[in-house]
Amino acid sequence: MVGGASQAKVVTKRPGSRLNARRNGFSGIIIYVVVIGAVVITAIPVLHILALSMSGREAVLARKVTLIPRDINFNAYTSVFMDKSMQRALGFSVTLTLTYTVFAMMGSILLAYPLCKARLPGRSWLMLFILVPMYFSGGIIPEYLWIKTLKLVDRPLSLLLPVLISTYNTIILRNFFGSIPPSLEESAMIDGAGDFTVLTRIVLPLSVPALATLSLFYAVTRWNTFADVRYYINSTQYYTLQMKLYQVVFNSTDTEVNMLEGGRNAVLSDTIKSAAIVFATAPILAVYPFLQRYFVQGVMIGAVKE
Amino acid sequence: MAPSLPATARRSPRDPLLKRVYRSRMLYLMLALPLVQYAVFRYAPLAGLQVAFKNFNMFKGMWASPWVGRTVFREIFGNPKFWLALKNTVALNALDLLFGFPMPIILAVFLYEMRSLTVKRVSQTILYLPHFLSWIIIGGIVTQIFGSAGIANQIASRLLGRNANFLMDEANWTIVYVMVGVWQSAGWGTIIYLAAISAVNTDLYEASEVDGCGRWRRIIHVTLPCITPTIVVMLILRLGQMVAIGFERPYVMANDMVLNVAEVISTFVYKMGLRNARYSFATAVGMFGSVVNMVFLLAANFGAKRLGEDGLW
Repeated sequence: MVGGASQAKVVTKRPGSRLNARRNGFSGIIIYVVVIGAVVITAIPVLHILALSMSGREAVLARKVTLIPRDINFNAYTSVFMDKSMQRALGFSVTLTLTYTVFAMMGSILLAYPLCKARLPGRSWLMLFILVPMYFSGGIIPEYLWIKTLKLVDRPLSLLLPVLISTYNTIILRNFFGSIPPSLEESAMIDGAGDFTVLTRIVLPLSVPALATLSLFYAVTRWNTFADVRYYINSTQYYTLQMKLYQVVFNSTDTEVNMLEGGRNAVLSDTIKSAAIVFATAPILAVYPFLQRYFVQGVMIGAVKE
Repeated sequence: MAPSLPATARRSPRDPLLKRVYRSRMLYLMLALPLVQYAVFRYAPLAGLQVAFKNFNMFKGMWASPWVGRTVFREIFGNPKFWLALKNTVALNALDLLFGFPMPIILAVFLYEMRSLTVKRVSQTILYLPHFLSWIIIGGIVTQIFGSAGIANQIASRLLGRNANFLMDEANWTIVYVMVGVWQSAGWGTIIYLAAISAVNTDLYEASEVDGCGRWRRIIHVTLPCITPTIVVMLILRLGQMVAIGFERPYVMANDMVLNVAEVISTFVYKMGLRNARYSFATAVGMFGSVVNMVFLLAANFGAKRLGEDGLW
């Protein structure tokens, strides 16, 4: 049982600096070359897409664009931003993600807190109950048939309810709750506080970093997930941004997609597709600096077990 | 722990069960809604598995459709496309393991050895990024780069003098698929190893220094042996997922030209079930995959626990 916070810092200490002082020879160069090589390989595809999205249509068709945009213009972005169906997909994705994150967090808290209490009768059975579906699930078709039975097909609720609680995230949270010293809660209970008061007044305020981490876990997962939209949603009004992007990149003969370029061209240009990719990536990039810090912590909290 | 409990007597396990349950009523109340979610959306759909043993008729509904015993399973086991999807699933996972597994370890060791913290931090920031991109975004990037009009083909045709259809050719497609997997996950995978390395006792490094170890020998004789338990557990957990494959990555990357290598269980089930409405067939395929996957997962978890680790949870 180790508190998440103490484990959360990943690797700041290195082999003693005295050791390092002598070591910057040939081996040091190899290490830098490999790591920086990996960084460059990671970055290049993204930079290429950025360059494509800002280049002129002709330059792209003539295959003149590599990492530096040619005939720089932002027409593609204007088209993507002004497109009604893009705006609608963005709006729907934002709403869906926020709603999902709020309810998923509430669900995880309500599930994780009781399960971290050793005094809860039947706790191990309840744990088993939530763990079994991680090992065995019905699979796509039984789940689809069930969603259909519930009349949720082609409704936004089908993207919220079935994935409402992540067992994995809940167990991370449970471990974090379990690392809070029990004496804090006990003194509150002697003062007459019930379980609910202890949760809201003591446990949750102490868990803000873990809660932030898990909210981001949930938000990013919902933002990026595409499979359930593919399975359950038919109406374009409930297309998430990912689904919309899928249509733009892989189904560019679709009439609605084609309107992105005013229907002028039979096939969408790579410039427009690239701009759409950047458009869908931008929100993730915007929150990425926060994400990175919290996600690394989250992985470590998850690695800490009782 | 007992002495710190001021109300030890009140919590004595000798209290009758009902009394303890009553005392925890608030906790059960909290659990109620989440447990309903599990029951309704994780357990109830299991009833749909009966479709695998029935001749499912959408109009009759799953309960009224007639039982057909193992007919559907006989049908899928006699279907070469099913075996192909199973083979591809295992093959792509094996390639992912072969090329994707060592990369994070190498990167983590090297990142740890970097002297400049600034360079290291910037490197980590960039290396982690692909983990946060959806498969649709990654798939979009891949088609833009490796598609027939993409830059990769352009470079290849200049070097080889002929067009290399990266996404249309089965071997090339497989290479791209595996490369993209490494690209997406290598950086993120370093976190767990970096944590393991940072937990290594620095006395060991100093001792190796005294013994005259250079950097490479330190890596081989100190760092790697110290993180071997982590490596083994990660390997076992990966092996537990050998028959599990997500839907999005193969779905987004595949195209009709390469289905011989790209059709996997998840995409096969989706096509047979939701596109072609062959519900019984698709359910049986999915169920077969789920059962095999469960066996693998349980075995992997058992293996990890035997090694004194905590397994998945």
